Amino acid sequence: MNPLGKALLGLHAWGGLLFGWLLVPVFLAGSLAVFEPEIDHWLQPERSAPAFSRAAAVALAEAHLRRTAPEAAVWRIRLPTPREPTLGVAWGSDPRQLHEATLDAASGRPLRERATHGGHFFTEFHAELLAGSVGKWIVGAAGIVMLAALVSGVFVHHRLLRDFFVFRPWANRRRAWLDAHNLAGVATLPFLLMISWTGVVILAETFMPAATVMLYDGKPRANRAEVVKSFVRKPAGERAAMLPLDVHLAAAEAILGAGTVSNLLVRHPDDRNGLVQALRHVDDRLSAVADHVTLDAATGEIFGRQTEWNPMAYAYRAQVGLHVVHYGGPALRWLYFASGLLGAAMMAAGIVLFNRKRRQRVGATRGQRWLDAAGVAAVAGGALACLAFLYAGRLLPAALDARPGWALAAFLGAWGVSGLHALRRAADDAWRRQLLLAAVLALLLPLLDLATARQPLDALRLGVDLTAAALGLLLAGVARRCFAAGDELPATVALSAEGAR
Amino acid sequence: MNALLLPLAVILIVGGMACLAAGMTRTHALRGRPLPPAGTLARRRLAGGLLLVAALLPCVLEQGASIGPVLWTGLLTAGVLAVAGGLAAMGRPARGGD
Repeated sequence: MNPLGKALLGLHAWGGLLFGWLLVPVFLAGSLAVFEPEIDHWLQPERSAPAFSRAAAVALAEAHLRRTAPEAAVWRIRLPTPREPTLGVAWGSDPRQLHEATLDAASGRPLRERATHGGHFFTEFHAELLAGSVGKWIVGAAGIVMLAALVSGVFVHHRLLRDFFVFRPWANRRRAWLDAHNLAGVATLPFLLMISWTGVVILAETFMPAATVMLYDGKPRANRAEVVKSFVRKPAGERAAMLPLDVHLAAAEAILGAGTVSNLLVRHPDDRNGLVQALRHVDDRLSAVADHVTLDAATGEIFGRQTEWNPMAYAYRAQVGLHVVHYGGPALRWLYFASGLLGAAMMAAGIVLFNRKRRQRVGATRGQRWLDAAGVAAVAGGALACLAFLYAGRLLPAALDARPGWALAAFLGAWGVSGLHALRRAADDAWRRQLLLAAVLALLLPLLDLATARQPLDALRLGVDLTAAALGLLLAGVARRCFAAGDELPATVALSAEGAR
Repeated sequence: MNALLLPLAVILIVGGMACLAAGMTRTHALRGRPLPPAGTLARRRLAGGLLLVAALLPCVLEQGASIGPVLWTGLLTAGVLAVAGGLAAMGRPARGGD
């Protein structure tokens, strides 16, 4: 191999290994985040999923807000959708800091929900590792290395086209793992390039804030305000009855499209200068720009609208849309979910392959033991941590103080225990045991759902249950077939042998 | 009509990938089977390519010109995996092959 090839191989192998430890859980969480509303629904078993009418739901929300917060300066209503079949209401004085409640979409009855991070937990972990800006920097750096690893991988695996459909599970283990790594990488290459690139683009301003700081006096939202028009005015202080919100909804949808309004934001209800802003969803467009129209609350006249966008806004938000997949419906969501998991599986196979080759060369040295344990903890530990979060979401008492914090503790605790276990076991033994445990937990998730449900089983929860069960079967198969018992010495023996040398 | 577009795209893509696989010498070598004539392999690869391109049409008709190509790309992934999985599921070749 020429020097360039060796350099690319080193970059691919070591870059893939070190950042793969982070990227596997990031991809796993990102795949789960595709179904954030469904997981949110599953984690809050108090939520119902009745048949609803959007207009009637808006009327119910308005009635609730008139009873609960008639004097509030701001009301916000989230309309129910098939993926989120509850009615969200919020009120307060600042649109960014509102009191929130969830209502049954058919009856308007308040739902007493448990406190939880919900499905957004996985989105937050995926985007910033639950660590704010520092997490975004780390994820952004990992995304850049991912792009480099993908490109170098194409050059390193020089028989990529020749071996395009090759997968030999019957071959020796190393070759089977290499086939799995190559096949998953080749099949998902367009997706992986796209998702890594768009992820880096989304985070670009976080790790390169200089332009925004210089051009907008350090105000991070100023550039956004330049693109997203805002239609507001001060209250008049004179009372004027607001038109019913379902009338505003119909008027807004006549402009934005039938069935497209996702949120209503009311400023100064029953004031002569009151306004009703209707925001359009982005589920049917690649570029995630949310058209909006603002109506005079008392007369229904159009006060402002934004249905055309700066071309650069379209271009940038298209990359956001490509990443977050609000568009395209169930087919694309499932493709993203499967492709994300395949990407994680590709990296996991690369980690296994790297460690097996290195272990054969250097033996079970202390350094190799740490590499093995990190690999197990990243892959199997990440899956166990996600499952622990879901179990905590259902098993922790609903009235527990600081409940979301305990669920987070379960997530991190499971991950820590996975790492300690992996350090104390031979690599294949740790892989097998932890993957089997993850498989059992995933297979039992539907039973947990049925045992702790507060509402009849609905399609959203059933989807989560069946997906978990299917992934559980897959994990069990991998654990049993790919990490068969009796192949390796226990870690303590290996370490003793190293000490004796 | 619309309900048939996605299944049609899947069929075209899986068919296209299967033709591509059948047109590659490596597939036959791994199965331990005699290699078809070069012309036959080339025709299979051409048919595979045409089927894959044809699958773009139902994707665009179903999802529009901006989202349709994304769906098509995602289905290519599914097609590669379906064909590679199918070949693997056919089992170990009679002799050699790896």
